[in-house]
Amino acid sequence: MANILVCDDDKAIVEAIEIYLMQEGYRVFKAYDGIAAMHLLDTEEIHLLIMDVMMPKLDGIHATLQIREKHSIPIIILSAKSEDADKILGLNIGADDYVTKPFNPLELTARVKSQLRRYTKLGSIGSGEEADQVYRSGGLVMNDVTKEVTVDDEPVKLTPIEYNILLLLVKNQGKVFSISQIYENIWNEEAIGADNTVAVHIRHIREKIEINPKEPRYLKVVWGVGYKVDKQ
Amino acid sequence: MKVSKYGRSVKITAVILQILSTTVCAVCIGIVSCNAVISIPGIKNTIRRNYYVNPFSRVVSFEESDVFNELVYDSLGDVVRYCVIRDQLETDGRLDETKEIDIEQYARHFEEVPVTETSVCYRLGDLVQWGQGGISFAEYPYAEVAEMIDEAKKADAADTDTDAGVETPPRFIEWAEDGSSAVIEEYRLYHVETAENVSVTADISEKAAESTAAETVEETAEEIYIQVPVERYLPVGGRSLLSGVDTVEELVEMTGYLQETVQMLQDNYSLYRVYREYYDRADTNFRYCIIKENNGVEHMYTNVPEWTEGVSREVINTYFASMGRYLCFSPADFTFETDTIIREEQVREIWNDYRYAFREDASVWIGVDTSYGFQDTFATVRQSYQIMAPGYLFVLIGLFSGIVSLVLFGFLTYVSGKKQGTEGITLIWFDRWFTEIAMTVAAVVVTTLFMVTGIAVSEFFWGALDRARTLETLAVGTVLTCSAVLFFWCSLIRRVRAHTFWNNFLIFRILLKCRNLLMRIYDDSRNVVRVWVPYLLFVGVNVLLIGGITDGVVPALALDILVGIFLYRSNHVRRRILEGIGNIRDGNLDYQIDVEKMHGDNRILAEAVNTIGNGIRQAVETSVKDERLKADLITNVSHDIKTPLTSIINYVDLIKREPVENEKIRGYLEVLDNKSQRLKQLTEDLVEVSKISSGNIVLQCDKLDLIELMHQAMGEFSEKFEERGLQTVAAMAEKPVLIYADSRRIWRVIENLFNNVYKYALEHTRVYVEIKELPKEDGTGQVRLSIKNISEQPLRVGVEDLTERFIRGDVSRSTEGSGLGLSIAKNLTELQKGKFEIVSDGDLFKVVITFPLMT
Repeated sequence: MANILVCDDDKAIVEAIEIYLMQEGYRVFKAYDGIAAMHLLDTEEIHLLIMDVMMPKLDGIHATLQIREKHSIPIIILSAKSEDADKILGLNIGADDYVTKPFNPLELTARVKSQLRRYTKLGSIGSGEEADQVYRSGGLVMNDVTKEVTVDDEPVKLTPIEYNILLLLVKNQGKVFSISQIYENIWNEEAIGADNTVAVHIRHIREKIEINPKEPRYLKVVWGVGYKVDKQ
Repeated sequence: MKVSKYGRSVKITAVILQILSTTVCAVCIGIVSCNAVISIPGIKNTIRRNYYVNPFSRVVSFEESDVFNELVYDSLGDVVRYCVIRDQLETDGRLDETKEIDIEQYARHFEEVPVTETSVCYRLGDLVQWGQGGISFAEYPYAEVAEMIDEAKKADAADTDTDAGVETPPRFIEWAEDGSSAVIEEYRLYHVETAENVSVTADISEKAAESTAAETVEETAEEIYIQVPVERYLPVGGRSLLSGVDTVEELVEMTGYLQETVQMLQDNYSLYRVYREYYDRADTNFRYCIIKENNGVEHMYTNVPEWTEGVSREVINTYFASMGRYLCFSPADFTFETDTIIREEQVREIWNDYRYAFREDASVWIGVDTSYGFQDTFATVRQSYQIMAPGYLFVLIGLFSGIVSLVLFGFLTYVSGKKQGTEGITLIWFDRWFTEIAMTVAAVVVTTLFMVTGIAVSEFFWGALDRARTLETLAVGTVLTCSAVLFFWCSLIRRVRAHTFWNNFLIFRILLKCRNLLMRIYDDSRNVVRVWVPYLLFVGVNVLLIGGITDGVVPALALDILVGIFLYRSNHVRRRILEGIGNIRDGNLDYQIDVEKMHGDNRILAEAVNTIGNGIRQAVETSVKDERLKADLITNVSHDIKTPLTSIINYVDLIKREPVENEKIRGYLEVLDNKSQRLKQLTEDLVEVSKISSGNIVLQCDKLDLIELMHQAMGEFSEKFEERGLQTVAAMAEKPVLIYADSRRIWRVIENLFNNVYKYALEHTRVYVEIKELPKEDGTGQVRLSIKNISEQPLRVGVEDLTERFIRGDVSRSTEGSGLGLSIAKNLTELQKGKFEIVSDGDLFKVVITFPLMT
């Protein structure tokens, strides 16, 4: 099982996270400041780091910068700072994910899982063996032959219409489809005035493939324009 | 000020009563005055005779009044005098012009001892005529007069020798030029022109003429001129007056007697004629009888027609005693009887005046027939008196109406200007006239009325003796004058009350205007000096140079060009200042006007603009900084809250994962879970609100389709709405409606609004979503998005307050939500140049968002 280092100056939070991760079967190391975290990284084999930003001795941002010099393990920043600027800063200096406090425990474990899968897959599996009929975007993989959809290796059950919508978006990654365009593509009919149908389907897809549907990683909503799946 | 309680009708009544009472008072005074004087065509010296009636007398009966008794007394005096005159002029009861009058006896008949010696006699008719023509005099030197007397004597003697008893010499003598043939008398010294006699002349002029004449004659015989009467009439016997005297002194004396006699006879003759008119007639109520002895014969003078000489005294007594009022006076037997209030002493006074004529054996009776059968003086006076009597009544009425008039005048003064039911002073048109003009008009009108009335009244009263017209004029005049006085007086009172008396003076106004003008010029003196003085100098120099010397045109043009350049530069500078002001107005607060090369007022102005700009910039900076500090504070606080909150949420979740048997504890856990989630939401919203309101937010605006957005939103909320039975009814166009906005922020707005609907709409109702384009001609149209729903709970706060932070329609805050939703929606909308409006009509809750339409 993977070793996860949790670093936060609030012991209660660290312990709570430990409980959640241990329930998932991970081995948890604890640190209460940046220096201790650095030290543990040097001494133990750590596969993933969950780190707070505001910490004594060495804060999370500087710690991340220093860790990135030596390690490529996934780093999830867990911070009370929820502004966009903070998120962008964290992701730019080398963090792989950014979770704001107060967090949903399920969301956190899901993100941990996702990061670990990507880390182990990207490191071990080559890219050549993929068939033509397989489409992926980050942890989202769609096999158009078997009609199987997996998110971070977890299979997801979609209805045929949901599958088709998602496939359209995944096939055309980065392109934004409006409701009418999606309708015309899927139903092969002229859209006589769009309605809520597509939007409802999209929501259902998001609920199935996203850890937090309100902050989707794959199927993103461009409000007032349409929907898209980013290239990853 | 009190509200006046006297109405219009009361005031008008008071005015009318005041005028009436004043008029009554004036008329009473008029009546009393008219009647106080009873003026009748006179008998005494032929002039009008006035009797004054005491208006306060309470005597009613005419016969008891002073007037009656005065009249009787005057009549008594008249008849006594008439009797004396008759004595002098009549013979046997008829006027006898041939009666011989001895001038010395006549002239001296007042003396106690009668003159008995005879001197020169004239005939009565001659004397009266001479008096009517007047005596003329001629002047001769003393010595010449003495010669003339001698010659007259000689001629007289000669005449007596030759023509004695033959015929009466001519009474008329032709007036000769030189007077030598005429009979000449000297009378008095007249005028002396020699230097030696100046003092004597002065002395003489101060003294009575007659008494000094003789002395002067003696002292300065040679220089004195004697006045000699021109003898138009000769004495009885036809001889010259000069022949009747022996010396010049005697001539002077005789001349004096002649002059006095002529004068007195002339007067008495006139009186005789008048008296005869009044007292020698039968149709009169006044009767008299005088019995006197004259030259040893008893004469009776009476106007009782049936009586002749020799009527016995008993008959007379009986007759008069039977009359209404009578008086009998007979000093000889000490009889004085009367039923009038005339006293004996008064009768004596008359008597003594004519003592020379009346001996003590004379008797007089007078009587008045009080039935007034004849229209004579007594009857006239009585009528006048009776109009008046009793006079005191009119005095009382006059006094009373005078008091009423004064009281009403006071009342009107008190109420003038006070209108019923209003406060303050009500002015009429006249009160707004300038004070001087009003006062002049008042003075002219009142004076004219007063004068005209006064003149007319006195004219009618004294001139025409028309009592009725006098009173009529007086009444009309008083009404007019009193009205005018009342009107002007009340106006004056109103002016004083309204404090416009002085302010309305035209002079005051003009002075005030002048003062204000001067003050303004003084206040603005700097400007006046700086603009007008240079301008006048400029114009003056121009005029002098061009008008004065022909060579001055060039320097004048040079000066004008210089001034033109100066004006251009000044205007240029002003444009730069305006530019600076425009920049600051448009928000470019860093703009600074370059004040180098600026001078005077422009520089001051430019510096002031710069200072204002700096001030505003600093204020804005401070305000922005403050807002940011506040936002930072809230953000930091929320971070500090979030850390413990994380633990709470996590451990609540951990407990929930443990198998908890106790239902209660599970219930408590639910509460904890809910409230901790809400606290989380709250802190997040709080940070967002503070960021938005401090402007600490970066928008990433792009074109987006509002229709698409609404479909997406309705898709997102479809299950939530279904859960509460809410049905959305959309009224939207098919084609895209594009606006320019930040897609995530506008989603936040819509999300908040839909969440609001989800939380507060009544279950199983419809939610209306409408998008309407409002295009304009120039392409800058707008799009209006409205979301309507029915509230579950009545709104308890105003629509304006709903968008304030932490306000929720239900106040109780029992439901979930931070209370910041609408506030955030509104602020975000406005940040994206939209308009956010909430309308509440009963339970209908409507949000209207308007965005500029993109084309």
